[in-house]
Amino acid sequence: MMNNIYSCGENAITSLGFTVEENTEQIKKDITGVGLVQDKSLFPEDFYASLISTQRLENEFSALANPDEYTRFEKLLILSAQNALKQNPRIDTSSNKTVFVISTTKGNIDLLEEKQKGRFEPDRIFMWKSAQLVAQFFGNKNKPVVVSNACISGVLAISAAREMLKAGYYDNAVVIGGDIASEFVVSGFQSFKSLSFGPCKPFDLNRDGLNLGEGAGTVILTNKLENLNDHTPVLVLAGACNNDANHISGPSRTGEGLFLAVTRTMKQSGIQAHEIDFISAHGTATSFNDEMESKAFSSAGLSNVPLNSLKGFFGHTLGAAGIIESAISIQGMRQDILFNTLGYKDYGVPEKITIVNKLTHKVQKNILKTASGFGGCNAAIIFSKQ
Amino acid sequence: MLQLFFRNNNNMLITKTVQIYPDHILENDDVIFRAEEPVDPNDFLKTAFRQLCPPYPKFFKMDKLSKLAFLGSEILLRDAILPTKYNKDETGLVFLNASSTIEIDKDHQNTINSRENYFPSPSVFVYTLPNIMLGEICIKNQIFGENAVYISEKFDTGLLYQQVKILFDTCRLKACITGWSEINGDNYEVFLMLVESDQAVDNSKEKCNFDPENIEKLYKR
Repeated sequence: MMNNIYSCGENAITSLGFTVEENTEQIKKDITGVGLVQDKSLFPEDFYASLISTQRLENEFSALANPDEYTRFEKLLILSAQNALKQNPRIDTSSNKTVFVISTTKGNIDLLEEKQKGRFEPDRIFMWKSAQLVAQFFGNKNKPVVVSNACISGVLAISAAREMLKAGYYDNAVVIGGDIASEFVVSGFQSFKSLSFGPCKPFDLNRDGLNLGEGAGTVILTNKLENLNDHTPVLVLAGACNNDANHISGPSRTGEGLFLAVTRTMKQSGIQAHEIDFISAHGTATSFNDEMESKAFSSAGLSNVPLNSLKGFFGHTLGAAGIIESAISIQGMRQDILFNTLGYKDYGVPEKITIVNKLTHKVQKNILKTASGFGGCNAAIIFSKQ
Repeated sequence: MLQLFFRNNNNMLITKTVQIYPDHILENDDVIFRAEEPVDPNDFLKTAFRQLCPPYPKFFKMDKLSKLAFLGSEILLRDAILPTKYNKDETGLVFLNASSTIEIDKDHQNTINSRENYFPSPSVFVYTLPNIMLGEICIKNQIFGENAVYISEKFDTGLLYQQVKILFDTCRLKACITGWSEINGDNYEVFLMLVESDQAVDNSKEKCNFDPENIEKLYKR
């Protein structure tokens, strides 16, 4: 087929590790990075979250650049992209045919805190500024594209980058997602009573909310066969995004938006429901989200397709989630492995879905990644192994 | 197989525009609202909404960014017949913005700065995502299609054109509400266009091609 778009380098930085391999080694052993956080600068009470080691971040970043010149968010983006690019030296980041696409929900939001006042120029609060600095770091002169669309940002960014390559605007895209744990975000989710009292339990009968996670992820896309590395080639097929048109802070009760995104993604990709081998679901472990997903997948004819949520391993990484979870699921597809849904025990959603409850061997050709978020947005994308 | 979903020579037409500035509102070429003297953004938006749009109590609960976008969309769609003309997932929204939700972000931060006076509120926090303004417009108009917000230092004709064109070319959309909705302090600006595929457009309406030159010309009007 002409003009295929491939993923040719992936990275994930979470509490579990700074590469996809480090993350999947822990995931295979059912080790979680979610833990009790007792940090009054993040929230007055103890809570469960997944945080990245500051010491390791500073150490690894110091080898690349002066850590005082970049924010925590920017360090995560740069380090993630750097680690992904290490796997594929063929990608020329300084080329005018390479574009940087950045996905985030809140970027440098911690710069609003009193204690951060004066550390950086005022325009550093803006996402376009961070994106410029990241592109500059890699010697790229194209204007970076910044996607900020709540929790679907990551999936949407991969999909948008794919379309830009497909339409011929660029040959390569370095798609980086990131979000940090901040007092801003923790207090907001707590005010919604969305945070779990312990490690989260996706799709479980006793699920009681989500865990926030810090993270960054990178997926490098190319339309040039000669830019592939020696990993099994993975095609990025179509993606789609739909709104529920129901409520700004809750998903539709019927799952209609996600259903539309999934069915349109399959149609645009030329893939039928029975050809999907695995679903990497959003699975935040809030009551309404997981319920809604079960309805959407079941309506789309995907009840018997194995499905997991990775949130139990490193929480909800917001604008990074779609990219981190795609990177890890692509690795699972290459190794013919389905990862566990950590935290899930007793079936707790109204419609039939098939939840992966242990590390499982399965040959996969096509996998579906989905995400849903505030504002009623839903996104889906399909990856396919050649 | 995939090629079936691509159309060439697909014309996209701008069938209407709305612009909101701190002292006046334009519907196509016409000034439809003018503030007599400089007023607070919230007062300006509320007064304009009451005067120009049918009652919608939820408007008054929105943050300033959503109020701006929503007011713009109500004027843009007030003589349109989108819900009956297109399938519900064939209309979408693509917005650009520079400052994301900086105004309401500061409000939320103020509720958590002091441990003695700590009162984060879900009704404030929910607006700290720029795509919430799209959600509000989708709910009101029952729009189920593609949604995207891109953050750009300035209004970027090239990016907007490219992203909207891709959605029409790949048959994801037949109509799109697209443009710029931005507020930072007392500076605010909305520029929204209704873009429709040529087959669907009533020939009697004033229209121009959706291309970078026309977008630029209309934005700078």
